[in-house]
Amino acid sequence: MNGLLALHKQHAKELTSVNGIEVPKQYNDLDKEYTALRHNVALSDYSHYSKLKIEGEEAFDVLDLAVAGDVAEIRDEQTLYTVLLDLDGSIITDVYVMNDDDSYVVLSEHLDDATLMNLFKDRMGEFEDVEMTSLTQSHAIVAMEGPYSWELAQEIYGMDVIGIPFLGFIALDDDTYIFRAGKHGEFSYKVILPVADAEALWKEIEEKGVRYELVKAGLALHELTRLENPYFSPTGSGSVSRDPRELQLQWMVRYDKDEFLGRERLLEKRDEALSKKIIGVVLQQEGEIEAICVGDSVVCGGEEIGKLVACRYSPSLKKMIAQALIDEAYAYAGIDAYAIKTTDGVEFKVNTTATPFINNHSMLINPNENSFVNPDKFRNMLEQLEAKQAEA
Amino acid sequence: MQEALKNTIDERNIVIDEVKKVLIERLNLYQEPQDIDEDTPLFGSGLKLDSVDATEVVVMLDMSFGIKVEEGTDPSFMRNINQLVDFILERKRATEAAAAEAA
Repeated sequence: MNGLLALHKQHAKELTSVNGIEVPKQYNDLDKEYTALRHNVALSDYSHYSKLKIEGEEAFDVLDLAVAGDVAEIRDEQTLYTVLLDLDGSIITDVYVMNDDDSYVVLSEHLDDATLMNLFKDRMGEFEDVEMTSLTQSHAIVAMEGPYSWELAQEIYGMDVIGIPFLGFIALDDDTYIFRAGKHGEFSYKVILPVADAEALWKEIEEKGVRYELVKAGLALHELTRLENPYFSPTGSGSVSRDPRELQLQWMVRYDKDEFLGRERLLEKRDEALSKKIIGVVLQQEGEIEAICVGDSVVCGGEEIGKLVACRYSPSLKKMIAQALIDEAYAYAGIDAYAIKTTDGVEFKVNTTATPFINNHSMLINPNENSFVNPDKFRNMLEQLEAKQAEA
Repeated sequence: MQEALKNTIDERNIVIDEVKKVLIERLNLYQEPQDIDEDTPLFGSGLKLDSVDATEVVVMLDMSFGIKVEEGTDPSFMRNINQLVDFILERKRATEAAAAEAA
């Protein structure tokens, strides 16, 4: 057992095994973890991501054929967030593809190491000058996430952290990367590093994070945060559809790329009429309502027009939020004429809405001007604006 | 579908189509209109627009929809097509209400 896992076993509330790797499911009360992620800093272990290094003269060709996004778009220290499709043009999983000086690191949250490796081997075809190495067991991922995670990361790694753009990364050496990407709308820095170094980093972040009111968090938290900021989810919307059009995830594919697996069928489907689409739904009334469940009907004038595929109570909105697969003719945001009908026959009025459901706190933070710990600076741009207006 | 709902959806569809068309033209996007989902993020991932493009979006609102965006306006209306459309429709309704009151 590695040192970081031993720490988790000692302190976490509950562990879970994902892709064959044990990580914390929950560290603290969920509301405490949620508040930290949405308002200051949460510390998490994402070592369960499968990690694959792809190198060689033909590494680009293999990747470009395998993923639906355009690998040519990403330069050194940039990352592509895209999907792997099957031959039917359906999404198998989302992946990050990091370009590290023309060798690549692929990260996948939803596939285990062997499945990911085999998917790429299947796609290698006649390419010979390609080498694949799994980093899954050798490397951990420690993440600082939340509106002030950039400030904490900067304390540890220096000013360069602030310059990392979304989906950018810095290679600290051959083995360690700081990668800025998250699936919850807040600032997020994932440190990909050798397992042997992970325990020391975790302790350092914990110690330096005290000033930021850092809270350790587990994976369970993200069942909620990823509904508030929807991403590809195999257990949520992905459980009812893998069609990029139905999921509103066409931005993850490049129709105009010459070749990639699933492209032919995807292009055929693109010309077919769309029958259903995932949209966001918010209850008109406030409060948590336990009677509302996945599978409940969405109705309009008594007629069923769709079903809920994911639903939760959003502490930020103080309302129930949901994703629903709706008949295309009705699948529009900005409509207040629908209701959720529970299995007991009770109807709750809803508004359809754009997603993300929430305005993330990180959008109010300018790392060059705001600070959580420096009393001479405002914590966010809103406070800054109010002070400016008061002064005027 | 009830008449009132159909009218609401038709009104929204017209604005969605116009927004997509103008964005593709002004920002030289490679996508076809049907390839841009309404919840597609405009910045970061998604359409990958940048701060220069954000200025173009503000100009587009003025040129195509007659909407002037005041300094200090919460920029979250630019997160995706749907939020942009919500913003346009809200402004349109506010203008219509003001005109009705003045009359």
